[in-house]
Amino acid sequence: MKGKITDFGIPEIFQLVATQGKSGALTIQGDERKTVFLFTDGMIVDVQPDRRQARADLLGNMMVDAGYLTEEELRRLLAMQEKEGKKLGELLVEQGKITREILSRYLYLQVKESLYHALMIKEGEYQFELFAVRPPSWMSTPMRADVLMMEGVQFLDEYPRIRARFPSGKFLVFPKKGIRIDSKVLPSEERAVWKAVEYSSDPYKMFRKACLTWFEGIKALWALTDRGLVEVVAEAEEREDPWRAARADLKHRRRVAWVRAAVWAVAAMVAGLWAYMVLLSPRAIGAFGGWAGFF
Amino acid sequence: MRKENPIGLRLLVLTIVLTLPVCIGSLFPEPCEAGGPFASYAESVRARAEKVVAAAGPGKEEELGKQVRLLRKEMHAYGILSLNSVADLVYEKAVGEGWKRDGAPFLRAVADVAPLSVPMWAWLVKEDLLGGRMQDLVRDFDGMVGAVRRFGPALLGYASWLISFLAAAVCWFAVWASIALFLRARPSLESDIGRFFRFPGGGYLSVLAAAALFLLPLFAGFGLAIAACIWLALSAAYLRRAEILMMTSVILLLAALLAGGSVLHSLKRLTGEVQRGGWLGTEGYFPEEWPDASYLPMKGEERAPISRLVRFSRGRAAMMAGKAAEAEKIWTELVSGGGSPAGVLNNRGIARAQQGRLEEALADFEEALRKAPGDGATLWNAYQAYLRLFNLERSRALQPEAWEKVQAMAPYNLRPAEMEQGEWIASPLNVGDIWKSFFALRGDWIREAGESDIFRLYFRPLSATVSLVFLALVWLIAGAWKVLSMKVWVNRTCRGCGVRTLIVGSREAHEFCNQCRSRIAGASNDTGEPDRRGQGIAMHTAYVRACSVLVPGSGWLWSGKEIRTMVYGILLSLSLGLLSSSIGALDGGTIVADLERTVTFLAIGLAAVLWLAGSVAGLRSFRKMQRELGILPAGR
Repeated sequence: MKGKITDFGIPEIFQLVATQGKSGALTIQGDERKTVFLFTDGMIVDVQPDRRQARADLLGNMMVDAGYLTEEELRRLLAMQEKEGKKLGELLVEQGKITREILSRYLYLQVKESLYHALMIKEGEYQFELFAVRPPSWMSTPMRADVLMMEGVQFLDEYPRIRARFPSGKFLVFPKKGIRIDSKVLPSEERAVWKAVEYSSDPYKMFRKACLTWFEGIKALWALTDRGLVEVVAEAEEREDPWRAARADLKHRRRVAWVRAAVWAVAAMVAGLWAYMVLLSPRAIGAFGGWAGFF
Repeated sequence: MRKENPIGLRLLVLTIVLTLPVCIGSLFPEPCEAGGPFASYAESVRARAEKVVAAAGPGKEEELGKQVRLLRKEMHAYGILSLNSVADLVYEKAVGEGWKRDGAPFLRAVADVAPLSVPMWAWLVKEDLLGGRMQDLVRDFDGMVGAVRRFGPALLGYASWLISFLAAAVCWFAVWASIALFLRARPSLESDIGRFFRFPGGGYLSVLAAAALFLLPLFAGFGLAIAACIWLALSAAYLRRAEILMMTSVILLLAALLAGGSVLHSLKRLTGEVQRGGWLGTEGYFPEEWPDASYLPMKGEERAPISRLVRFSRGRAAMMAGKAAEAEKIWTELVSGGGSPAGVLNNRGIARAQQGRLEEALADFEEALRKAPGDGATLWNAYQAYLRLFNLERSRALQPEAWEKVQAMAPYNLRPAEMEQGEWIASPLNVGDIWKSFFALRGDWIREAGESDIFRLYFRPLSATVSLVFLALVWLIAGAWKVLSMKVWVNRTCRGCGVRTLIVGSREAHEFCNQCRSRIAGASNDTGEPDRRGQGIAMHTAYVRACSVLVPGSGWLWSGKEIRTMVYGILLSLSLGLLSSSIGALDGGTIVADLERTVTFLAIGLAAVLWLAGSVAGLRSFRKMQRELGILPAGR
């Protein structure tokens, strides 16, 4: 089965494969990339992102962005991969860079990222080849294509509205000054992003660290912004000195503290005068000293 | 080492030091002068009383004793029990001539003619205590208790003092507790105000808004109770359970303040504007005006419970002025009015005896004895009457009991062996009857509370009924705000380092931030990263220190010792309440003023010691907690 995306949309293709419980490989080509999804009985079991360029949704790059690997380590691992013919994920686990559980989570993320990207392709071609696919070892529970598709469609619907809340170009995210929260009370995705704010101010790396898709991450970031926990600034405002922001924050806090001390010193004086008026002034002591008239 | 920020504290200390002398100086107004106290008495009594006052002074002890005996004889002839003004004048003279420190023996000497002067006895007790004279102390204390039991205004005055003192203490406690709790809640409140209103300007507007919220009730002219309630309600969401208990106790005490104001107002209604010299004080001070119920603040039927007592006073005044016939008429009216208590019959007997109708007088004494068989005064008068009628057999029969009872009549210090014929012992206004009429007079206590001075001062602009509803509402709103704070996002301030954490579903376990729980101190490091936590800890410590100085005991609140704070607050408020109630009486008569001056100094000393102790101990407790959390070096 093959054809043009403009004739038969990607959601319909996924739905068809899912409802008919087909096994095989769905190749989607367009937007200068080629992505292959592998199905077993209508469920997505693996994805093969385009390897022609250093795409961000490749596992190695994801690991670098998330801070599990350095660029140098990735280069060595890729060389090793070519030599030994093993999958990168396997090498990462073998080398002790990540656990199997983390690998599993990032591979899920890779599937979702690839699907969301595929959904954004407006023009291109698709091809579905029927054959028996054996699920990879990391795929303990295959993903339902229709469920993923629904999430993807929601992404397409909501993304423009959510994105409009952030600066149009690149932007950076910082935790708001002086705010501390008990992260346990936050929903899981917000909690993950909140924790990742400390890791990087680059939202892309932040979401990678949080193991969230761009859409999931930006949605959680929106919620955190709304709660007043983080602030978003356009990238141009980035400071060169890594501690400049912290120093400016301290300076600001000191200034606020001085203003606070002055304001409350005045308030204390007013309150002291008021306490004198209501408890020690002639009128007040007249009310409390009336007993003397009996003697 | 962190640098703390002491400049704010220095400013506060400077302000206190500059304003303290002004405040203390204004506490001591000049005492009032007394004058013309014997004008209404009979000429012979007046002359003798003036001689007693003239004889008082160092080197004239013998003369004073002689004059006192003569005056007392004259007083008894007119049925006068006490000339309290004698004690006042002797004291004034002692002050004027500079022998006040040696004045105790002279006042004790004139106690025979002014036995109902409670201030005099209290002053003597104070002198005995200060001088360590235990024997005199027992005797003077007996005199004081006797005077309180027999002199109408005394017991009412002590009740009024106790209520005024407690009311003042409640006011101080309300101010202290509400400000302490507001300052405890302030950091979180300030952050939430900024968050809720989304103030721009990086926190400056939040600071101003929180301060404005605090000052709003003051500038709006609300009474102390209303202002305290507003502060408590604002703080409720950020308080611990024990602090909520403290808040509840303030609200309950403010309700009690309403009741106290009501009782004080009722006492005022009972006595009229003239408490000492009016109908109530006839026994000790001759009334400046003839005792009459018409000057009482209540009207017609309302006055009924005390009109009989006022007429009794009028009868006593007539007796003391030497108008025996007029006095007899009043006593007869009272007897025919029903009830005819023993005291009325005894007094009518004296009035008749003064007019030479001894047999009729004897009949009254006998009748009085049937009603009150053991009454010393009546026994003595009957014994005297029998003697004068030469019924020696009957007088001999009465003598032992009469002598025994009359000697036991504290505080009069009567010595039968020295007493002569014609010295009659009158019956004063019964203090028990005054109390009964006080409770009979009390009507709608809420209305009376609304008319009291305390209410007008501390509950404006509300009415009495609305005030009660307001107090209940404040408690409910505070409770609702506390419950709501567990459901919505609010800031919590870490007690250890002051960092604010935005949380929902708060529990008291969240009072310390994760870093404090992990014992992470603020410290500079080699990376060049500024020590934000260290700065936060320093600023928080400075804040708690300032709170501790201005509102002593706050340090304990921050270290989580609420019950200790509350006990301390009660002690501090009692000492300050003593100050408020005593400086109000500094112009209440020279002896009273002198006593109150002592009490004022004592209260100032006590309050100052407690203030200092509360500031230091609270702060030490807070720093100990910081050390235990590992956020303050052990040496600091």
